[in-house]
Amino acid sequence: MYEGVSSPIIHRPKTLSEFAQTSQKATSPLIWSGGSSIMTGKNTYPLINSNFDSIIYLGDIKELEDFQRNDRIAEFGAMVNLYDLANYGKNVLPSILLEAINSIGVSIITKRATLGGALSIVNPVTSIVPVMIALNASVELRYMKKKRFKNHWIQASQLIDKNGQISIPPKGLITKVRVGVSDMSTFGKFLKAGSYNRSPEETVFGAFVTHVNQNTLSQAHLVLTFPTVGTYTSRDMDNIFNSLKFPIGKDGESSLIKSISTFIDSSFSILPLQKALLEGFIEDIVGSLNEIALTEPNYAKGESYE
Amino acid sequence: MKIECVIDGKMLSLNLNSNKPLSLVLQEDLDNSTVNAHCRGRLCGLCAVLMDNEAVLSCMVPAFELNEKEIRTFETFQKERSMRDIERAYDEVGVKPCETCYQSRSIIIESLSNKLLERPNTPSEQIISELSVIDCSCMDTEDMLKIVKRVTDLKRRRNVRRS
Amino acid sequence: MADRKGFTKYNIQYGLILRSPIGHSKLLGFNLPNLDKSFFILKGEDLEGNNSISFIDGDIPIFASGEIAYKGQPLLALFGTDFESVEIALSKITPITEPIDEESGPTEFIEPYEYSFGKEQIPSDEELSKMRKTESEFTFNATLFSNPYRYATYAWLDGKGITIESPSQWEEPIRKNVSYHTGISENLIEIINQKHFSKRDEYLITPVIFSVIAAIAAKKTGLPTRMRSVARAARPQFKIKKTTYFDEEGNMAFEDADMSVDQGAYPIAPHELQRQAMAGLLPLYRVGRFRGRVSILKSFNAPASFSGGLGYPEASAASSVHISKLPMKNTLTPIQYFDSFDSGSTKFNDILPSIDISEYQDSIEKISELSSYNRKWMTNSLMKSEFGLMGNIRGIGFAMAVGIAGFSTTFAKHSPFEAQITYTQKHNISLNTSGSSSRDIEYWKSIIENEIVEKKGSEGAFIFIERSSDTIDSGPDTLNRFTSCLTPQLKEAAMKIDSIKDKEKPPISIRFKVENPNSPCEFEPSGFGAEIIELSISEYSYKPVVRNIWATLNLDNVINTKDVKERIKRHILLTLEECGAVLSNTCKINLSIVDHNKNDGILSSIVAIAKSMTMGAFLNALKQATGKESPELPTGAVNIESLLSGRSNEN
Repeated sequence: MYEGVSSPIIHRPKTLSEFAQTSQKATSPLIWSGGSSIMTGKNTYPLINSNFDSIIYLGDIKELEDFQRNDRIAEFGAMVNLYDLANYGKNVLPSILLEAINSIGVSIITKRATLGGALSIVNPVTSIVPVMIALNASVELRYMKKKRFKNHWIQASQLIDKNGQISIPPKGLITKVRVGVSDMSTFGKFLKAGSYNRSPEETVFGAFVTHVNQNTLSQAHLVLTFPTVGTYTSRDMDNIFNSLKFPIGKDGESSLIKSISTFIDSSFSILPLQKALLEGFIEDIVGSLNEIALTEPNYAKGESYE
Repeated sequence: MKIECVIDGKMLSLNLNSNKPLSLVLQEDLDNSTVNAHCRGRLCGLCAVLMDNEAVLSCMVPAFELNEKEIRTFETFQKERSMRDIERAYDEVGVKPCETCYQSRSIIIESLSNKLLERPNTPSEQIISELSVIDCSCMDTEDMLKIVKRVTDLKRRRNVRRS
Repeated sequence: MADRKGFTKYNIQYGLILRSPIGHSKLLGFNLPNLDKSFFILKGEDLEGNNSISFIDGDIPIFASGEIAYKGQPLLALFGTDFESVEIALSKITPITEPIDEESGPTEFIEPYEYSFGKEQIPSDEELSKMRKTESEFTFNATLFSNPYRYATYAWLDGKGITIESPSQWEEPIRKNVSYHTGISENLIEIINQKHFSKRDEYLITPVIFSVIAAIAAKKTGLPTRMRSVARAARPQFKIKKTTYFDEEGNMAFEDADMSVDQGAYPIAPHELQRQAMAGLLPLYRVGRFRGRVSILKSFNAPASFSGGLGYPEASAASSVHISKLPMKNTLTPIQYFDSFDSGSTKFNDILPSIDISEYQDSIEKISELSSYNRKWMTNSLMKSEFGLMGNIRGIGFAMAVGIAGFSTTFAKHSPFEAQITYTQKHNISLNTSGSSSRDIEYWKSIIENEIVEKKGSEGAFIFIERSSDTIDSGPDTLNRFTSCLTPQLKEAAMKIDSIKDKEKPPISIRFKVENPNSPCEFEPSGFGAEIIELSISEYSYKPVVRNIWATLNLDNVINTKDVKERIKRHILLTLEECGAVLSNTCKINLSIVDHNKNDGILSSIVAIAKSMTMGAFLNALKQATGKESPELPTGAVNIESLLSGRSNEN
């Protein structure tokens, strides 16, 4: 019978050093944080065409559930679930991140979805990934190298490989995530169009974050995720935003949309619907930035657009 | 893997695959007639049960997490007092869920109404959002809201009477 | 009754179906992995006798053999010691196929059904070419519904007989087909009907196939068998074109309706579908002459017959959409236009008796006022024409429908579906029918009590015969037959019993058809509904978001208003879901029910009315919101984006 014969061994380390020892000995373990993405996969049970022979469950490692903050950054353990993240971080986290978590909506899911898990799935299933990248979040990554357990802090954007998929070293683990606290001068826009679990091929997640200095932008960051395809982020694309002076007219907006579409087309093949949703997002961003530029106090001091 | 837990009031010792979803354990190993859906990741929301008094989607709970947990499916929940409140709310509003989602929706309403007791100012959009986990459009949003609010109200009154 | 209490997971064999991953092609064989003897395969060639089940008037293959007809067709069944092993083993089995060169589109399956009626003659082509005409075209695409509800089918040998446990809307085909394939006599086959809820006739045909497979496997190995399946149903593709010709005075001289229905690989009940569809195509207003044509096509798609209806709701919805196109000028909304001409009753014809919509004028006006339909319709149209897409992506649509239930009179005349009422020697009443639901039984009880006076209110007076091989086959539980058709027939039979019970010695039995075979028309209209839907296209997701719904129902006889309201709301929402709509957070269904209290009235077919008027109203609203004449259903974000961007072939 299947049962008993094919049951993966469950390891439940209590500390990170126990995790290191366990993962060293295990041949091909499946790292299990909240498990929401794993359990909702099509071939999860029974495991068909998979190489996993054991599961390392992170739920007993208390270090991964910590939360700390100071006046500049907030740091979360990777096992903090998204529901708690939204609650603890209500007055601290950037609103775009809270918006992204709330867009998942249902606490029955967010209580099982962890931050580390959300950032580790090869093809992102939530809007957390583009938002974290756009916010320049950093993650602590721990992985085996030459039989030693290393740890590194890297930018969240470095998790994305050239194919737009999230790539973590084998037996690697995200242990902590750091993100800047909410800042009044930061402008953020978030997009979630479609429903990942019911129609992933029609869905788009997007995040745009920038500093606004009167009518120009700096450190603009646009990140787009197309589930089933990949995540797109590009310095060239960001630099286009940084070079713009707001307000921009319809022509400028069209030209911007065209440039972004060209960038996306060079890497991914997406549906016309997804392109249309992306266009709507850019229009929304431009509209808001135009509004900010037109209502900035400096312009009230005698300057005019006529 | 040997799992020991309480399911529907019975202390059970089960020999299961460690990663078998609770929904399949209930359907196949325990022949539970109230959990019948397994959508393979589409998050249909039709497999809700109460785990340690909180609603969970049983397809998302692997067997290895069940040790020392208490699970109540609709099989036992329907006999509880809380379900009377929910039935009363269905009756008063004049609409009830279809047979496909009746069990799951009732359990989610139970869990949601308990939360609303603690956070009475939860906005309606959030309540609707919580109920949207169920992929069945047999009720309109206004009726769903009325039902949840009525159930919460009934629980609150009972709590006041008790105290 | 046999039960499966003695079964453990160690003494049952578990079975799953392998479905074809590809469409129409030659099936040469299978790549099979090495399977140990705990596995057992069943293929088409292993079945004794015919590799098919019979259902009403058609046959459906159990497994593909030699040729795969459609994607998803069952290819074989694999049995093993548990579902997991079977699933893993099944993932390693692949069909060996060869493409078929001659690919052809749908072909005509039976002769088209043509029907025409009216006072006037059909105008000649020359006359028609001089007349003003209004045309509309609609497509309802084939849809495969699969809900995540899993059900189990059990089969186990019980002495010389066999017991089948499965949800089923109709047990008789299970009994007949299991008997045919296993050689076990029908009266030794016990069927345990699991509790089920059928939204779209999911439990009509598929359970028969699974029951037969499970029974064959149980007989071959001697082991109790359990199979697992999700509830599936398929809706055919409907293409409808309607043209109305106006004479010089602006009267509707002639209306032509052409409908084609693609029922997929194995059409079932095609003649009945033609009749049901024709009923929906009939105009609800007077025309000089009407001509309709319904063609049934066969194609290499999943078999699609019953899906909560049999063509009537789609045809009726198309008629509603056509009505909204009739006003020539934008100065009149469809409701105003309809009000403006003295339509009067429609002419009595072979399909439906005369219907006078003006009886329901008040109800239509009421929802029109409540929804501010005329104002919103005008505003949306104006905005659309002045500002194009930028101006407005809102729409408001109206539709109306008459309800029909059950099979046609022609079908009833030739069908064996009956029930029987008996006045017993102990002066009790028993009813022998395979149809039942707790709701229907209460209706029947109240009718019998009303008619057979002495039994009124007395306890234990009503006996419902338990299911056995002596149960009379009353046919499938679909199309609201048991509520709307059997009930009036039962009433008549009960009246007869009442008139003769004092004159004749009991037991007195009266056997009757479920549908009335003596009706002068194919269908009896039962109830009327009108609906208005307001929607907008979401600029964030391109999905059609329904904002508000107003509906009114005029029913001949309402026994439980709350129950009726609940059911109609449910079917409205279900139909919207099937159409691809999403509901806004504030969406509300404003529903009013008018009970005409006709004591001899039939209980109306809620489902047919709800589906027809909802589809029609939704299509009309979508048409206005997108500015496109014939959006297809089901719709979705991809379709709408394509329509709005002008990339689709839409005019």
